[in-house]
Amino acid sequence: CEDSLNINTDPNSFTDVPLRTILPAAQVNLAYALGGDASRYTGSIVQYYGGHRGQPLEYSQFTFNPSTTDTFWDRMYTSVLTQMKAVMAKADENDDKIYTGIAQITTAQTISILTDIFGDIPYSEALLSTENITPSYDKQEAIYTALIDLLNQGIANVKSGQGTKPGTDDLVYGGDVAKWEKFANSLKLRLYNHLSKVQPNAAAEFLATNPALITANADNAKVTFGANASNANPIYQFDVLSGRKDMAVSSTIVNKLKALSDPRIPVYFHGIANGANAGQYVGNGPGVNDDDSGETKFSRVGSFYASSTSPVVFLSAAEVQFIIAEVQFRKGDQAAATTAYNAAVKNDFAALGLSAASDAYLATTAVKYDNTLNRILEQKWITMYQAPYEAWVDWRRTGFPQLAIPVTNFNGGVTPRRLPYPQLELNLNRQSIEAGPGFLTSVEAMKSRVWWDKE
Amino acid sequence: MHVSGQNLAVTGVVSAEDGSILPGVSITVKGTTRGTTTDENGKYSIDVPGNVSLSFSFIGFQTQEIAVSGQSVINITLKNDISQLNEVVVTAQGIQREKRSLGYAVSEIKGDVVNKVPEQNFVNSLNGKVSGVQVTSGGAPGQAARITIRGGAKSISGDNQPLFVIDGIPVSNDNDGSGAANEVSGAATPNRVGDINPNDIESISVLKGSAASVLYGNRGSNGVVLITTKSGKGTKGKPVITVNSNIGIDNALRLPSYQTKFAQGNRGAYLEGTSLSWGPEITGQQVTSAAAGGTTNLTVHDPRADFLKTGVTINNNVSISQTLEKTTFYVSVGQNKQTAIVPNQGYSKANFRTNVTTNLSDKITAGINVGYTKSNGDVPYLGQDGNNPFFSLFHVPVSWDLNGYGYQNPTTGRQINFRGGAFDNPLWTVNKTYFNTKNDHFIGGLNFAYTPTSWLNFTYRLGMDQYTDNRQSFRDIYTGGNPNGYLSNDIVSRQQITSTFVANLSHSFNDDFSGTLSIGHDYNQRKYDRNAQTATMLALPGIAHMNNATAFDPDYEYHSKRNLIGTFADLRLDYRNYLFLGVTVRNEWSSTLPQANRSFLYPGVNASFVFTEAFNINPDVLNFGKVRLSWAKTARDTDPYRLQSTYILASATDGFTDGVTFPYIGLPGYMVNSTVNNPNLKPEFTREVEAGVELKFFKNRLGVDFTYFNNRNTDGIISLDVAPSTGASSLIVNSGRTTNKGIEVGLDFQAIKTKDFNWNVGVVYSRIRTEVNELYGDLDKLYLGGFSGNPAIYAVKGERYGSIIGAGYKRTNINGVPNPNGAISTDADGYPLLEDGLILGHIEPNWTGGITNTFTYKGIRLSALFDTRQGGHIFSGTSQLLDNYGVSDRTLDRGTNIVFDGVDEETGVKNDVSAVKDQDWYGYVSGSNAEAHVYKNNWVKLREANLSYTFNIKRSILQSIDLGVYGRNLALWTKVPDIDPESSSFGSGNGQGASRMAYPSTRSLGVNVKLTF
Repeated sequence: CEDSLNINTDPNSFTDVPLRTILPAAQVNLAYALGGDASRYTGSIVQYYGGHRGQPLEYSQFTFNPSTTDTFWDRMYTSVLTQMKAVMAKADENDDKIYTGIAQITTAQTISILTDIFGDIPYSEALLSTENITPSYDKQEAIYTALIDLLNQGIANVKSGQGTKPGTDDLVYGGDVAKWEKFANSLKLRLYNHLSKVQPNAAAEFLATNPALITANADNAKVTFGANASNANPIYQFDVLSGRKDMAVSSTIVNKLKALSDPRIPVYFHGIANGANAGQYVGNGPGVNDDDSGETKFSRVGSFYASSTSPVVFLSAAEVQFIIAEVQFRKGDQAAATTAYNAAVKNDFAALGLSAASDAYLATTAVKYDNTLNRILEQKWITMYQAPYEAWVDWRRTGFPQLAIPVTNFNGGVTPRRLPYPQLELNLNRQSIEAGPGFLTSVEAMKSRVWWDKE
Repeated sequence: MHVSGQNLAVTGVVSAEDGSILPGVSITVKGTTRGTTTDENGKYSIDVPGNVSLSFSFIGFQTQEIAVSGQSVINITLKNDISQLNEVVVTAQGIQREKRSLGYAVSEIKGDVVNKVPEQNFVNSLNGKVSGVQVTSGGAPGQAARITIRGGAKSISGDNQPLFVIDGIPVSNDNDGSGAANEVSGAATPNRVGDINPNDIESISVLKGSAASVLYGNRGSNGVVLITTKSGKGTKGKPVITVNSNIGIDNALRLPSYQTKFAQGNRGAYLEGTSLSWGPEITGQQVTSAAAGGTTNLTVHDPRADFLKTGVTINNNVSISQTLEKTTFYVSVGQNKQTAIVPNQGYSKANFRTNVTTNLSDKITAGINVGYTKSNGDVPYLGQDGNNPFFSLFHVPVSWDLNGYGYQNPTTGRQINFRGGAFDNPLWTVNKTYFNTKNDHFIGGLNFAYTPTSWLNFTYRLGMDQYTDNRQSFRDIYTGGNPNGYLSNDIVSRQQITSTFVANLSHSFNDDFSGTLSIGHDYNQRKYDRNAQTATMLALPGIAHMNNATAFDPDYEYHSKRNLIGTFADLRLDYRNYLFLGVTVRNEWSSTLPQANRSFLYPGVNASFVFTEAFNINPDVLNFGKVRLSWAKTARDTDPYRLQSTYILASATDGFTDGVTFPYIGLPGYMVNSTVNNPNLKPEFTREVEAGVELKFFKNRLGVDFTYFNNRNTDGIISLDVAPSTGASSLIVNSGRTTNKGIEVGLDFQAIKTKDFNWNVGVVYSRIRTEVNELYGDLDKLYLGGFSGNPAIYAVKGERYGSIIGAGYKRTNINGVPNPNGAISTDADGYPLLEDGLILGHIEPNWTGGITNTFTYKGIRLSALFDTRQGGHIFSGTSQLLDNYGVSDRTLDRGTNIVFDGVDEETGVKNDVSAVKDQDWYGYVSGSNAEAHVYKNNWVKLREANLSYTFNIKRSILQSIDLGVYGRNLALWTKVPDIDPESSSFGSGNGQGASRMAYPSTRSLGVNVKLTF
């Protein structure tokens, strides 16, 4: 009798799995969320993307409802952060400090992107599962402090070299601890640079400590996707495999690259697929409702970032150099800024397989460094096509590049400075929102600013 | 004149109280075996040996004895037998009880009532016929019907459908949906009890309350539907052969209303490739059209009529039954084939059944029941799904020549579609994609009864329910959502084995007082297995075979198994056949609960008092009266594998794409499951009180059955959605409390009863209130189902079960609190402001009812069933989308001005800004606003009607011919626009009350022929 009742062990899942199987699951989820939803939201705001129908059109018209961000937020917390927490807990059991460090660095990366998009978010009381089902919202200022601390711990842990060494299961660096250290430092630099309005010297002070940074494309932090449909890149899945066909690129970036005769045009964009204008590079105007499901009017994201096997870049040498250029510019060291600016563009061209064209490009008047922040951020904006959420941070900090107001928008023509909290949190954790940042309607939320986005 | 020892001839006529003559009355000479029967004129003649007594007996009448006393003519009137109310009904665990002795409500429907109007899925036939029973179904052949009893809300988020038991064998009613039960996607897979051949059904007993179903424990706590198939009993002598055939046609009962003025397009300009009909007015103007291959002149088409066709249902059944000396049998073969109202879809099934009962000795009876159903269906996708043909059909612009333009480019092979994206041309859907289900379903049982002495009886039953569903889903290359093609082979199988042993003891303590005791044990095992293989890329078009695949998803594999052991006792005490007391108790052990909580005991008591028999009440007015009262507690366990938290196969998704599934480029990956299981789960409990009264007036001319019930459901096992910032998406917890109370009324009235003409009225009515008292801690709402986004169905604390929550008009505040009756706030452009998260209505009806009128005149029979639902709400996502797309007739007012009745939010003065009702207006005020499309869900339906005539032929081999015409869903009266408000876009889950591009329900008309040999 007892035997026939002791049959409730789930044969379809596992009670325990090794560390090396959890890490890649979390890394793929992070890359999928950043390359997919995060890029579509923010890429539509900073006018890389100009969807012509459906949600992609709504994004470019600044229609962000609370439910828009449900899946993204859910995946970032449950499929990335929870998994990283599990990695840390398991790694602790055997003192696998490299895994602990990687999990800490990835947690800091994930939280930083969430807080940059939403502002105050649950952090200190988050991820406690049944122990706290209404986690409070931490102030972004406190989160930034905590993240620097977490990155320092992560660096110490990966550098310790202690315990099991990750191998191919580490999809970002194959277990290379030196590269993890560079990535963590580069992340710190990125975060300090985000504080340009509130702590203008923070990035320069950090840079003065001579941290090991990502300086070569070989050190770029990224996850590369696979050829099989079930392993494919998120942009490729959305633009091609889903059959939706409602995404297009924005005329803002297409026209800018055309104006600069930018060699990146053919790798950034696909020419129009069908019809009389086939092969041409045309973007949809921001917020323009101009159905192109026949693919005769607009270009789509191109082969480098939108093939099945394309990478989702977390942080690149080019981005680091652009940050350095900005820091040097603020310090008034234009020579150092020039060096960094040129290195940034060259690194980006090299990563895209366009090395041969970079010198000529840098020599043109419209590209050559002209000692302005505008120039740095314009080129950075073009490069950050690889990580649109960073371009949005830059726009909020600096106002560059200048963005067009969408012809149709539901936000009073104000470019969003923050996205509304997801419906899931409003439904299930509303008291924490009300006790913390306060509840705002979507339109109000998009007009409000995060802590580092000081007026 | 009489001489002792000599025979005397006695003749006479036997009639009933109403004056009608009675043929077939049996007359016996008391104390002898000599006897006769009355002929067709009610006359008899018998030789009797002198001064004896004659006994006249006939079913439904009181037996009378008359002393001959020398009379040679004895005419006699037989009195109606009120004890015919001693009908025996099948109750839980197959225990047969006199209905009068039951302290709870049991509704029994005869098979011929179920089959009056043929229906492939008999569950649909229960609509409007049993109080407290609600059926929701769609119109596609094979589509699952959802049935709930007494509101179906005992479990907040668990399964609320009743247990189905066929000839004592519990069977699965899963539909193994291909989409989640609570989401609007997936294919219209059948619910498996629909496999039963309705023609095989002898009767259906519906056990509605906990007291009735307590012996089934766990599985019976949502009520039980007991189906008894035909046995051949009562067909003494010759074999009875029946041949029953019908053919019917189906059409859409209701389609949305369209504008036929404006062409496809955007902002007044003609444009192809869009879902919108916001183009120019159609005036025969010339436009450039890629679909037409150059230029064309715009004209108005009727794409709905171009696409839809008449569905045909053909149904043939042959059965033979006979009672032999020691054996009775029933054998039947049935075939049912239904084509859909869309091309290339339909559902067919073949049924075989053999029921045999035999007396092995005076003390041992053995029986076997075997049913086998083979079905094959091409079923549609439903709801928000690119492969739902109605999703796109409903918004094909009137300027689009659906048949003329075709669906495939003959040169490139690409799809021709009026719009782009994942939603296909409906012709492409039905010609280039399919979802096929092939099912083999076997239900078999063996039973034995051993009666060693008159007061003791043992029964044992072993039953098995087993099916395997082979599904294939194919989408050709260039299908919108699968441009590279798609093929999936999915094998679903379920097996349920039940073994039941019952010992019945009966004892009479004295003339007044007797009792029966049943003690039993049962064992139930349920297994579920699923394996699926999916190809995500095809090499060649049109070939649905894995050999044609060039890329695959990782294979899917799932298994589950659960066991349940129960012991039970049912004691019944009977005082003078008018006062009854029943006590039931059951203990259960479930494999799905933790060891500490897996054993649970629950009792029930019920009493019945036939007061008309206890007191002297004038039987001419009230010939039968009974009150009943019961209390019971039942429990429900949970799904398998909800105790231990595990790691699951890793995947990454974004809600728009199929996403990533591991293995990832050869690497394994697992994730902490975001559903946090609970090692301390307890069963959930229901405590139910039920009281009722049954009254029969005027010699059964009027019967009333009234029931009140009140149940309290505690420790609800819920999958609690939690904020993702907890790191989890849901927790399995024991919480939640709901109460559920209502009344059920059944009325049976023989309005006119004469020799030739009868008019009978049957009424059912139920009124149920389910309230959510507690969810979990401070939590005020729990997601039940919905669309991704807006609106969704929630259980809200303090509200009736099932609230529609979504965006609605923002209303002015009173001291900071939104006033639901306040003026609507408008903005500077004169647009109303919207607010998210509003409660827009509840899905539970206030009351439902049905009325059946039956007229018979000699052999002619006419009957009609109207049923209705009043109260509650439904969200019509169909209307919302059609407004948004500019295809509904409401959008004919485009371009007109509106001064919206609201108050400017900034200034506080009445809005005087005029806005244009254009594409933006409809997109915003209608498209983003669920409140604009939440309607009172009131309707009346002419559900069934049939007219038949019976030719009694008697003398030849052919005994009778029944000829009939029938109709189902003949008419609908409602203020809900566009849709049949009964249509739900959800599967069989608890989230109901929303419809979005659902498959329309159908109106059927047919003819029926039944031959009895």
